[in-house]
Amino acid sequence: MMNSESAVSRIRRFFYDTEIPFGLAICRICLPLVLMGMVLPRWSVCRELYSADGATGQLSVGFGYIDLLPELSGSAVAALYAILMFSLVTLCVGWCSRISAFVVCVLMSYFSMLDCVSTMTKYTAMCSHMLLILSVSQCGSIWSVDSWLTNRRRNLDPTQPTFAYPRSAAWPRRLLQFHMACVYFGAGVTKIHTPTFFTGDQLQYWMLTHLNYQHRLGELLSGYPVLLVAFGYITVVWELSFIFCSWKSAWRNFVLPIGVLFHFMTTLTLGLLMFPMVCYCGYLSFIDEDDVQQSSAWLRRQLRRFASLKQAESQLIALRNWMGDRPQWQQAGRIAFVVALPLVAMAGIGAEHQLDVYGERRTEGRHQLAAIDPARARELLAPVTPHRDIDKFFAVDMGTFLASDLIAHRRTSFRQGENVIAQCSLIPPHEDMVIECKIRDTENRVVNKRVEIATREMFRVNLRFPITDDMRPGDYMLHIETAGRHVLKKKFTVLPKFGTVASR
Amino acid sequence: MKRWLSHCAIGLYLSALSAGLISQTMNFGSASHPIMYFFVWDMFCGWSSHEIRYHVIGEGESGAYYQLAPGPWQTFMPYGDLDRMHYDVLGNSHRKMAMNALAHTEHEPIRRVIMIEEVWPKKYNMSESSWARRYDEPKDPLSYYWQRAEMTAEGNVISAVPEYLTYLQTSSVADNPRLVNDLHRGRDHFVLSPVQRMASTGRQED
Repeated sequence: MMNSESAVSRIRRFFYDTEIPFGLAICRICLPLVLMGMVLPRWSVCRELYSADGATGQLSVGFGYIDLLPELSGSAVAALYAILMFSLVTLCVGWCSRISAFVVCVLMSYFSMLDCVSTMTKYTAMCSHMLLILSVSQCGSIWSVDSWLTNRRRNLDPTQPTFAYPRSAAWPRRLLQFHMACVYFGAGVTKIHTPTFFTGDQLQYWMLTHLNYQHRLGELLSGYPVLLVAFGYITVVWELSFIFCSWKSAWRNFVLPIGVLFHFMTTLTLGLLMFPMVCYCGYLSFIDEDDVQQSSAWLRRQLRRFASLKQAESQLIALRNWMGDRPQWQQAGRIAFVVALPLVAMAGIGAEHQLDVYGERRTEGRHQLAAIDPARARELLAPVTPHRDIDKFFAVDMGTFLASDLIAHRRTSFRQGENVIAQCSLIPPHEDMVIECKIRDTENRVVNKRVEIATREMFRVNLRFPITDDMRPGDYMLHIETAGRHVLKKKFTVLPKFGTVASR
Repeated sequence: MKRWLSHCAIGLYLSALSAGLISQTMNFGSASHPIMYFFVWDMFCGWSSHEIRYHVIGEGESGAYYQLAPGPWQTFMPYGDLDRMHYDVLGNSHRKMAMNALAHTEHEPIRRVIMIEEVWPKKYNMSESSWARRYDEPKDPLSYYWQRAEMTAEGNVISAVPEYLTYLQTSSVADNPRLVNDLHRGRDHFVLSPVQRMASTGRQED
């Protein structure tokens, strides 16, 4: 009985302890700035992407619901999109914060669901969650226009700051934390459901994919699949343990920095930009009062060290005092927000009309369709070329030992007496194939031969052969063939056995 | 009252997150409704071994071919240097893009609209330096062009086939003569003509 009571009180404390919502306030400021990076580039094409006068791609179609959401006219979309951009700004500065968060949440979810091709992604889904939680939180009670327009409570205790920050229940921040943890747990489960993730094959193909922004490091790492397998395991363990270790404990100091590093690496290796930024915004929900106090103490020490910073701080304080408190403007501020919405909508309609995305009102007339070069058209429309053998093989690599069924250390020179593994990586989908490996010397004589069958589900085939004493030191060529047809070749060198006179 | 509302909000939200996780883990109902997209976190559900690009072209009555997607206006590239159409892996909005281009441009009468997939193995995405480090033979890239669908100028589908990689997959299975033979043996078929339905029980076996 005692235990259950203590558990209940612990849960109550977990969700309902009051705190100054520093984490939520920082999240409220940063998330709209990140979302601007997604929303602003789509403004000029909002008619094409989201309206009945364009080419929408509703998310619901993939789920078997044809055009679930209503598609509005181009002007209506321009108006709503302008309101979305305005609400992002007001959310960032904290003007009618909760209403702004709700408006952004509804409009962004609506637009995303209208365009699953180039707007809806998992990070937009995450943003919808975060905005919904912000809309029911007190995220605008500090560092915002709302707080400026509210009567501030003076602290009489001289050891405390002059003004007391308002406190609120912790549960919105807890829900944000749960949300982040569930996202990672779900991502980990997905990887467990994907067997080829752990063989390194899918990661390798992902890093060679040219769909996202530039990611040169990814291409470099794709050449080291053993490393990718190791990182894959670390990622899954981290993702699954996040829900248990990210709460305030010693573990948090490892789990969160690993997350920051992980997302930074996805930028370098996979070319993701927005996803890491959105996740970093989610991490801000892990900031609590203690963290802010520690950071403030550190910042104050820095301020004391640098005169210029000290001066900037005093200027900020002077500005804040000059602004003073304007509680009498609170009502007027809300009315101004309501009045601003239709004005912004009308401005949006006007600006979009001026933009004339389809060029229908150009002086030179409507656009002409671009003709395709006849040779290019013939290439596009020709019957498909039979699939080449070379396009069923990714590469052939040589080495002497395997890790996770991959050549751990690729080599092209071997000593007599070593057992060599020639690994053929295959490109799925492929049919069942006979793979023949022939080793030829410099005079093109076959000195060794191996045959293996690769069934359609296989991603790689290992052909093993010893470098016997019969193979004299020198250059050799490994030929990979299927059904007697040449596919790949690889040059390698045989060196004398260790301990022989020739090896010195 | 306020406390009860917050109890409800917490309970509802955590239940929804849990339902999404269970649905995803047990692979049950995770694609039952678009709302599931917001609760199923399948960020790595499979990446192809091939790079795919899409072409949507129209054939005019003169025999000339025209690019219908992207339209001849401002090109929107959402995640890098590729047009939006290349992210539509299901091909659900290519038809709309073509119709949109036809609706907002001047052009000769269009006889048919064609959707084409361009496919190549991702190994050819390697830079020359990476290629030289791993391969002893020069890079010899080749794109496979696969006609996915053909439509009238009004957007009515005349013919459609699965994507190229599905074709390769089914071809590799159909490569087994015994399997193909078994497929055609002992198959039930139904007589749909009303006359035959009256004359027989309606079910025949060969």
